[in-house]
Amino acid sequence: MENVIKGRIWRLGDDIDTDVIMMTKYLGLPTLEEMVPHLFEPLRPELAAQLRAGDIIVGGKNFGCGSSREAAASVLKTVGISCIIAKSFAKIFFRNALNNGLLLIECKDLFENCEEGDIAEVHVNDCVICNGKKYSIPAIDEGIRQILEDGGLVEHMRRSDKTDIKDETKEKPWIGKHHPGRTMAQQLIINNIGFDCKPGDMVTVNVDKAILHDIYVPYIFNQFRDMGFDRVYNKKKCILMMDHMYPNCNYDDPRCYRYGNRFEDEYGIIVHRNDGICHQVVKDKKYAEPGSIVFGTDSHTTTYGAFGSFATGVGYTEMASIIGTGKLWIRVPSSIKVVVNGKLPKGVYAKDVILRVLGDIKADGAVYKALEFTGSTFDEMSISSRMSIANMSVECGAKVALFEPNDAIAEMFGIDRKELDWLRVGEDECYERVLEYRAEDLVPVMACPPKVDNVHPVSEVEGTPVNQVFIGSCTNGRIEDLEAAAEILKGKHVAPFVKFLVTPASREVYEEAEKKGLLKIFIRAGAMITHPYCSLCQGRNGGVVSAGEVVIGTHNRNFRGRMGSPEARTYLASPAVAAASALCGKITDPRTLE
Amino acid sequence: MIQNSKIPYCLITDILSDEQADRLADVAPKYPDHVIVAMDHNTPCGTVAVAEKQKKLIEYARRFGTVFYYGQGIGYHLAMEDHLKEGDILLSIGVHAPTVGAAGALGLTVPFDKLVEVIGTGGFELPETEEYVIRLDGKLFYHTAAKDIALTILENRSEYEGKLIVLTGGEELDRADWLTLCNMLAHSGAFSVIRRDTSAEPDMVIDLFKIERKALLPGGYDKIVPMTALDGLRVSQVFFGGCTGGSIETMRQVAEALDGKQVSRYVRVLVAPATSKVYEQMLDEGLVDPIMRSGALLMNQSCSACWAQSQGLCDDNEIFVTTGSINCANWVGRNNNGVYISSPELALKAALTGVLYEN
Repeated sequence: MENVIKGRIWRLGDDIDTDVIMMTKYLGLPTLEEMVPHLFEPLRPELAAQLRAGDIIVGGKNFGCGSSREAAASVLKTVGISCIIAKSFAKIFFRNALNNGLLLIECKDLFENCEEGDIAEVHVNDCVICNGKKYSIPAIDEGIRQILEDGGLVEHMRRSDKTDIKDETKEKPWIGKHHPGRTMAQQLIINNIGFDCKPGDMVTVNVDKAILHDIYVPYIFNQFRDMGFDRVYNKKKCILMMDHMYPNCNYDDPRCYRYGNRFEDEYGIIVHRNDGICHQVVKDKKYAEPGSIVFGTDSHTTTYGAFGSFATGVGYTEMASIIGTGKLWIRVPSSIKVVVNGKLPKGVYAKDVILRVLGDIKADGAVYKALEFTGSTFDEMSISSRMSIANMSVECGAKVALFEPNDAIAEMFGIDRKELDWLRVGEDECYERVLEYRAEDLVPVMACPPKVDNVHPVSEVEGTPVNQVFIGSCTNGRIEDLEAAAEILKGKHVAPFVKFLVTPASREVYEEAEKKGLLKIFIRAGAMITHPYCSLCQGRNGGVVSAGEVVIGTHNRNFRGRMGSPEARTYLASPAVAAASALCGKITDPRTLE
Repeated sequence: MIQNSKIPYCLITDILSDEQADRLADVAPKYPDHVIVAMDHNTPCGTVAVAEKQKKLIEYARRFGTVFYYGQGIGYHLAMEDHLKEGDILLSIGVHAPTVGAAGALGLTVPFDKLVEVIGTGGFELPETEEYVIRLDGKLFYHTAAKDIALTILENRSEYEGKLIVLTGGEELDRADWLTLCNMLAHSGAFSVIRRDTSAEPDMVIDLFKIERKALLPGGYDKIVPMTALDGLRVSQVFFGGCTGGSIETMRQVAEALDGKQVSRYVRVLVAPATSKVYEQMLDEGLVDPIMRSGALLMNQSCSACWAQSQGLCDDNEIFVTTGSINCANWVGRNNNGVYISSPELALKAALTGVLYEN
């Protein structure tokens, strides 16, 4: 790694998400070189052709937020970007860039004081000089520097000793001991590593489950091979889900299916082919036990915090290392406590709770941090509702989103409730910040385009004409979601010219929806009902829209271009709001129906 | 007989090009209730470009109050379910318009300009066309299917080129068989195909019992070979659906064959009912569970992997066995020429074993 880097600046804004860096529809392209012309396409389609090796990107806050897609970092490295300087970085992007040997530098002041085309001179571990002004920058951690020196994690792991790899996870991760004065995130990490830790510490954890999904599987496979592994650390703990690229809707999807089969054939891991979205299948199959530590290649892996699991997303290179070693280094996160007490009013759902939190703390409000949810509202809440909240917590950058296991969780996993008592949210003083809400004060809300944290009461946008409604995704594609929508649509048909798409989250959900007669209600209401998969949420296919169209979705992201045209507008809402809006052809508060 | 005095139905789908959608925009229909605008090929929509085109067609339907469907299934099937009666005429630019002949209606593939003219004026002069009567006698033998009848008839296509094929007899054939026959014979160069009782002397008589298993090589409807030529072909994808394979009869056959079994893990199996009503019927008859549990995908009602531009795409070297009716080169993949049209029975065996067998 060079100690002095000099390059031309390209200046981008705040919250540059990974969808903007590389749209989902290009992720299946066989090589990173083929993705290069599509860099920053929804934001600045002309930019990719102008980027040159040695250039420097300067961003605002929360650079690289959103999806876990490592391709965003890999393609920037491929094009030869020498470093990215931003006010702050999203956690998964940060790790992905590092693992690709791409230098990231946090610098609060450069962004406001530079222009595109300026030349920046970076003195690693010391300062950035631009336009004659000097900005100090933090030193790079020694462990990180080693990975960068090696040119990324693949080379780093290639040199590692692989003779003594063994699975050191506990057979029953839910059995543990409470440590007073610690956050729930700390309780989980201490239980895993066997010694005390505090926020900011770097620790290596044992991985209880590794959840791979098909969108990155060729990359994981090749990185795994290139690192020099010849077996996975535990065949029963590495689980691959075909959920993004099957049904195969784009040209390059079959390749992912084939690599999925290779993983099963050559390494014996567990593969789910037609069972639905990974996060729902993890619930259906009870893969993420309370007390466990789980990493997944999808950013919404935070969902399993609903079961009391420390679960978060990683990139494909890191996943290759995880399935080879069964271990991963993490920084112990500091935590934000979210307390909600009381009973949610009629027409207000878990989605409204998390959207309200997102609107309050904003898209970068919990970067690197754990969100820990507690209060009587959550005690009463179904597992599905908890999952919706944990799922969307990553949209404010949360590393994990944790709920205390309750009776329902104990019953789901067949665990004695008393064995889970150690898994509790801590006292207020353990937390960096405490947010408190009264459930009775909450109202139906929507995340309005083009940001997840642009949250407004439904009443403020009511009447906006709607072109397409999507009910599905790992956020809100479960039975209770389908029931809420079906209750509104029973015996009715969606408004003329509204495109209506329903995708149950998993095969189990689909089958239950069939038994309960929900699918019949939807088909009679005019729905297209697809096989359970990620569907429109990923925005690669399956319902993308044109310029000027409005989509109401129960999913989790409304970034510019995520649903197709960059000029389309996406609103995120609860299934009840989505169904009511489909029925009326315009944004509608379900409480006003009848 | 076809009643030419009737107002023809005109079917508009999202196979229209963007330019055609623009040209249609200001054509006020004389009879809006006879113009069926059905978004059926690319639903839910696969690309922004197609979404832009669909938006124009949606706007057209809204502006002129035509019949409209979005994602409710294949246009020809919707027309048969909701509109067409025996003797009606349906015009479309799609090559498979004769499919509606299975319901005794006359489906005609017409150039876009003609379709636009008929939409605007409401009038259509049915050209004088010679009929070519094919009588189907007896019953199909084990392991043969409607596809084999169609391929047998296609082998003699010079005899009826430009004529209206009238299929008669075939009392033992079911609705799915008639759909397959009318649809596949649309590729014969005939004026159209229709199922109709007639006492006219047949031009061709086919003894169904003697039909042999045949196959169509990929890349068009020209190369017909004995099914034995394909025996043992390794398969990557199987599809049940389309105009020919999306009927409730085929769905029943699929559910029964997959019940309690698992499809091969090396084969991607997609199932798509032709219309919302077919799907609803599947729910009523309990056909959904056996399909879902077999490892197959149950997709939404649409042209799906037969159209193959937004569902069911393949790699260059993959073999795709379909119960649909399109097998063009470079259709399901950029450089793929491995689409084999199959009967549901052989496709089911391919789904379960990963191999296309000759019987």
